Amino acid sequence: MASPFALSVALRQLTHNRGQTLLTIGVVATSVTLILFVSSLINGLQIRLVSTITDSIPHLRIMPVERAPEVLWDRPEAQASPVFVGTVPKLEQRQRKIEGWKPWLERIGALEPLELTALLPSVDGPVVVSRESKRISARLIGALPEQYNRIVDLQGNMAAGRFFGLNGGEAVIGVQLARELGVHLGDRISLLSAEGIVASATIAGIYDTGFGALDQTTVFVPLRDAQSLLQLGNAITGFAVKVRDVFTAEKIAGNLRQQLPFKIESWMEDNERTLSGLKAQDGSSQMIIAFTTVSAGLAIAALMVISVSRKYREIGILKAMGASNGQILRIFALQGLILSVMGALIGTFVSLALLGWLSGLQTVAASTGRPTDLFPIAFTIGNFLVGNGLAVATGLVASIYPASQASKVDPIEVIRGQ
Amino acid sequence: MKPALSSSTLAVERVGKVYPGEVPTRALNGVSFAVAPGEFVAIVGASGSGKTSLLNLLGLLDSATEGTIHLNGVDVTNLTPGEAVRLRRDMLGFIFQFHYLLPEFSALENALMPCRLAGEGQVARQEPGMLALFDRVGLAGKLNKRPHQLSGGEQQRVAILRALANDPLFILADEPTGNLDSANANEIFTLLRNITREMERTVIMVTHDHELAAKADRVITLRDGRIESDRPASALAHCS
Repeated sequence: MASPFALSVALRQLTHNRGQTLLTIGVVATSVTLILFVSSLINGLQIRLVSTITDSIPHLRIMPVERAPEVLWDRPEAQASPVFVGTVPKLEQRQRKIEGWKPWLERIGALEPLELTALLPSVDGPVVVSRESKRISARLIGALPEQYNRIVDLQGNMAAGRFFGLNGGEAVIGVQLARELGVHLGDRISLLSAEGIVASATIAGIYDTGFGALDQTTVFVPLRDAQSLLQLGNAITGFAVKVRDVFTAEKIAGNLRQQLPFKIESWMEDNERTLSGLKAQDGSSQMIIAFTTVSAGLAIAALMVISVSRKYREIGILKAMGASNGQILRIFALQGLILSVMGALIGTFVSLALLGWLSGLQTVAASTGRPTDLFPIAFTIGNFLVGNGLAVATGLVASIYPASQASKVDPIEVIRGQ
Repeated sequence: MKPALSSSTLAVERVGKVYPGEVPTRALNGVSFAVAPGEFVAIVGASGSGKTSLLNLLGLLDSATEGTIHLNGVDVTNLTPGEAVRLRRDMLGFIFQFHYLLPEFSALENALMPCRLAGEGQVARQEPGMLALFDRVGLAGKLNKRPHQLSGGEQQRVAILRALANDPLFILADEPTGNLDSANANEIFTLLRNITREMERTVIMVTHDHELAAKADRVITLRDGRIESDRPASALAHCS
């Protein structure tokens, strides 16, 4: 515990040596600013990158299993046979669909009730969209709009018209696709499916999500219309799933794979390269934080060692007067603590001001032409705790060596040194 | 008359001190003497005679290799570091050649530093007496001055008051006027002499200044770690 003696001496020395005190606080504040800035920026970049991927697609896709021929030599009874000669024929793929899907909806929902935030049937398949002489290959998604909006927020990103309340014979398309086709709200387009069915739909809405792949290639129609167009009857092509924590998607997919007779793909599987890039970015950020912390610690320690050597005689005299090793140790440990707490507080204020200013800066995204944050800042309480906790712990640890040197000052040597 | 070892407030018996090393150095050898309460004893001797080593032992800053030391009846020969710290705080006051006042604290705060070490309650108890002492040494108007705002003589006066702060039984002074000119040295010595006499404190002062030593009650002369002579100061003055 800090004694009033240790506290008063520590505070007096800090206020007396203002230059050195301000220098040390400056070092800590700069380190905290750097730690908070780097971690908030990296955090923001990761959130932006992940949300760019995950906000425009289902986190999990549950689909029928592909048909594959059973290979004879994989059978257990064939293991003893020495030679097989032959080829594996390619089976003609039947349309992949899930019949009687409603009971599955309930069963899947019951398997991970806490983790799934949205689970709904979907129908998708390739189509050719045409308007007059223009023909563009696109992806058709048949959905229940109010439910599908939990997977991708189309209603909140409508440039014109509506997504909710989509009626039969109506379609919603992305702003880029609309531009390429030269269509506007209320215009009619033709949809030609791979099954050879042609249908026409009225443009009820044009969305602008900012996700290029979605805005350029996807046509949304009511579930029933898509089932008709793809000749599915009452079947669907799969389930679209959104999970609470996007980074648990692969784990949840693994759990579901063991319990369901379906093929389950997670967004993480499809974006392995991006994820490994994120991990590398995370590692770099941690390295920067570690080196910054060590540098700050060394600076504090160096400045305090100088302080101890300058106070060598006074420390010796205090000890001769009856100051215990513990009291001397506490003086310098307290100084380390006070300096690091002050530095952490100032660093936090400076970084909050800096982050606040930077997060207001905007630029125009080249791909979408939309205004976007120049620095995607994500400041979290975790960043604050890590930055400040590291600074205070570093200050304390860095002060231990000089404090212990101070406590070991031998008053006899001071007296002899006269 | 020299006090008997048993009735004295400070008793040193056959004390020896050897500093280890490749060639061990013997600083003190069979030193014995006793000091009565309120006595002012000067220890003189050439450089290397063992004066400072003896003062370090009496100040519980070092431990004797041989013999015993009793302070106010307490055997202090083999104390733990914690016990030594406590006794130094309670029973001893130090004055050094250089004042070593803490530059961050005022004159009054410096003088009360030993009380601060013992706890804030002690500061409150001793402050009125300390204010009176500041008045007594002519520093009443400089209570809040920082050390650098005081002259050398004033700094040393604050150092003397600091040694008296905890009302210690013993004052140990190592060349207390060694850093002052002769006029200031005489003034400071007289002040120390008078205050400790009024307060009936025992003073052990190491000095190489024979003139000052002659103003003590008694002078112990060390030579090569042994007591060469131990006699009243009046006798020394008479001899010289």
